[in-house]
Amino acid sequence: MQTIQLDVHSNHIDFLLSMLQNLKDGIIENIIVDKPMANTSIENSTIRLSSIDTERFLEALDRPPKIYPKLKKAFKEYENGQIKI
Amino acid sequence: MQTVPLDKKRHNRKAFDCEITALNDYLHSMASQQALKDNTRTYILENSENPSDIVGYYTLTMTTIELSKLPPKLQKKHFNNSSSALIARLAVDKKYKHRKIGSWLLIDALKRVLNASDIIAFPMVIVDAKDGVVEFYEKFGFSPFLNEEKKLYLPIATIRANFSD
Repeated sequence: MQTIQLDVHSNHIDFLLSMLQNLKDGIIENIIVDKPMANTSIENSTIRLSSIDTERFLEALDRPPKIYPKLKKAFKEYENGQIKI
Repeated sequence: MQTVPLDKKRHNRKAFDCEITALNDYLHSMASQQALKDNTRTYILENSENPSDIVGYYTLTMTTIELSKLPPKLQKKHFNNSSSALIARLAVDKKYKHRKIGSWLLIDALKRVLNASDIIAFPMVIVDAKDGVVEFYEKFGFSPFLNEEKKLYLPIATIRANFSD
């Protein structure tokens, strides 16, 4: 049994949708969501996904690319012409 | 600010000094020849008031990916002997240090790489970091290859995601 735990943030939504498709396709066998009572959305929750098909599971865990705040900030500074010689 | 291809008639290469001999020597004597041979492309950030004055430069080329030195998950995603972009050199003249010019040049280089990958697909960009600049690249998301802490990579998908709104 292969299990992964994921803290959910807004940039994981596409990933979660793909996981739901994997659940439908039988790759993921179980999804458990630990959601704070006060939350009305899945954001800031923790989910656990499990599968007995390790290889397909790892392929399915092709997470969305990471967001690097300094890279994103540098790109915005570049685009906005904030850096001067 | 914008970068332009190195032009040996326009740019005063000999005056460039980033305080790293290898990077100075490459610009002084090799970059133009390598471009003529279609081995590398060197882009220059000029001083807009004096275009012959080189503020900084970077050099782009292609290299092969050593799959065995990538994390297993990435090894599964890419072909053996895949090519990737290589930021072979990136340097700022000492007169212009501490003004975030290095970061600006890196973003400019990544934009060029991203545009190129839209035409001919390749999965990542690699840098060979000189002594003392590994952290510079890591703060922008580059990860070291296994057992090669000065050789770092950044997936094209990560650049695309971070450069979108």
